Amino acid sequence: MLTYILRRLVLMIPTVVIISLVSFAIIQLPPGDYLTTLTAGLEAGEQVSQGQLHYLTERYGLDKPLHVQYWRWMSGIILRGDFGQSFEWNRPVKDLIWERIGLSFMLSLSTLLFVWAIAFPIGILVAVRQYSLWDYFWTFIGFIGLATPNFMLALILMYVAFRYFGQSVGGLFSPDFVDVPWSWARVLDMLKHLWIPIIVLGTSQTASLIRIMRANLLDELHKPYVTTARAKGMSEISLLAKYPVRVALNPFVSTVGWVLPRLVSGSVVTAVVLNLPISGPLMLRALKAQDMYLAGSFILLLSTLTIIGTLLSDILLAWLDPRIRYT
Amino acid sequence: MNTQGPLLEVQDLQTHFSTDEGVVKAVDGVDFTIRQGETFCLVGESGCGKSVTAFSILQIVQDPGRIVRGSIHLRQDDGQTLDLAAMDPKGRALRRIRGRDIAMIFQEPMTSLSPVHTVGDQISETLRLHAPIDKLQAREQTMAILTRVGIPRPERHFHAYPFQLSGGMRQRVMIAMALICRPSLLIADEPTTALDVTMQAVILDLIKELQGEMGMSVMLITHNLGVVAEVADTVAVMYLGRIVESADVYSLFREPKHPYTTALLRSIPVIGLTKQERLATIRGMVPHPFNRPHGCTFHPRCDHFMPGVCNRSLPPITHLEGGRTVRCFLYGGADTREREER
Repeated sequence: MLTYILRRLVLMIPTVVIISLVSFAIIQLPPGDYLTTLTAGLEAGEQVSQGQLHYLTERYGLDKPLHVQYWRWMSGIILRGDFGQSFEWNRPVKDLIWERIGLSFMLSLSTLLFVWAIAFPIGILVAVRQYSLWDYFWTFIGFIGLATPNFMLALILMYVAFRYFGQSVGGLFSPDFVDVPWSWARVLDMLKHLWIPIIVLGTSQTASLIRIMRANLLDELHKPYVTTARAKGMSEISLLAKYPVRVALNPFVSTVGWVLPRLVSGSVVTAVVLNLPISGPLMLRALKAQDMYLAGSFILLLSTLTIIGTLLSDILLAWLDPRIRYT
Repeated sequence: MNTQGPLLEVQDLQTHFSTDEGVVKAVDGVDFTIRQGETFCLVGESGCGKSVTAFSILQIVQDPGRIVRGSIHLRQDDGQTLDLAAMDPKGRALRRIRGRDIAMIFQEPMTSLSPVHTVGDQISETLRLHAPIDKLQAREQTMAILTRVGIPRPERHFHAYPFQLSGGMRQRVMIAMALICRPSLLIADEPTTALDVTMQAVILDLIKELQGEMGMSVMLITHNLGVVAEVADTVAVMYLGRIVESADVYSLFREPKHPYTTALLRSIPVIGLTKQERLATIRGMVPHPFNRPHGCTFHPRCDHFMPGVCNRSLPPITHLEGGRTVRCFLYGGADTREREER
């Protein structure tokens, strides 16, 4: 097991290197760079000094060949943890990213817990009572959940919250709490705002997880080992929990790792509509503005998190399923 | 031990599957008895209902199968009898019988064991369900039974997963799991079908040995007449959901009564057959369950078909000397024409 993890970790290195090359290539692909945008702004009469332009060109080697630029960027990340400067925000990329990833993480985690708490019991119920009234009811609800676009649900919930609960809508905080340091009052305020994004982000995930759980479990429910357990004299509930549900979890665990990249890129549209201070909208904006180091860092981070997430999933799966562990 | 009356008495058992296309009468009026300590074999072709009969005894028939008629009387140690067919399939009373009084082993030892739980966990679970003992005691008894069924180094194999064992070893694990509570009846549903021939003999010998040791009865379900000759005391031959003939094993092989039994016995391959002598087969095919022949269900394939008799009504059970029964008009019952036409 330990050697397996070590081998996987070593294999990650070349993958990450290749990904960094690709992400750098991607941010260089569109014609022009941020300076072009700046210069255009300069001609239009904006306040940008020639000296500032010159300084930026010098610092990031923007007039140098691509491999030099790539090297400067990568060595900054590896040696000093410096992801470069966001041109648009005029702040270090790492400050911008970390600030938002904390909230993204919190939001993803609570959405995930919400989804699990609802989807697992319902998924098991509809599989055990296949073709019953419950099954049809939740199937109906589930398909509605899958079919409703998130932004639409967001707008509806915002309206409801504003009209009937008198809440300030949008964002994760009330106006009074946006720029103050963390305190219990701020946490409470956030919790009051959190339910809308959690429901918006969680509905389609819940719906699809119910379907996955139902399908997985239906595959297992009629396997002979379930009959064996029944012939032993186990009660339906305990044999269900111990045998088929346990096996049905496997395909699901193998996708748990995808939660990590979703931290960064997920829910962009919802976050824009709800004006959430998480990382998705920031990335979208960076890409549109050709804020190259910010965008590049996002892409790099995203890919690295995908790799780490997959590794975590694989380790979890090996821990859960002995057939994988021993082969 | 109490020896009055049989251990298990099944009367007019009917298990039907209601599907969208119609009702499949998988078991359609089956009677048999199993005495204390004997080996009872239920023989028949695939799909004749022998497995459903076995599953019905413990009421673990899969949906949409239901016992619609009949009784299954199990005699307990105190001499009392219980009707298993009348119990709630999900109730506590029947769950106490399963695994403790009646245990079962299945055809496919690989798929019949959970792939993600250790062998030891699955065996000791049966014990802990039925006896008030702690984990350590359960573990010790599990080791003991693993040794008894011939699994080497039980302390190591306790922690093994089913996929790490060979087919024969897995079936030994199944046997250990079934016998750990010392049941009075072991139902073995084609326990050797998935094994190679040498392993088949080993497993059958093991079951026979443990049967002698524990004094239990065995109900063996098989389509293999060689196995029947090897282990059975009494035999019942099933065709399309009904028992067509039952007898002790010697009489059955020496003098089969029902034309279906005769045909089955003729179709066993014998070493020394020359190229000119071809192996006899039973002509025709097993009919589709929705499309059962009228009267005796075997008549389209029967060599002794009597037009106007066999295809008109179902032959009744005829009792012959020596406790044998047969369901065929050749042995009487043909004049009872007023019987309900099916």
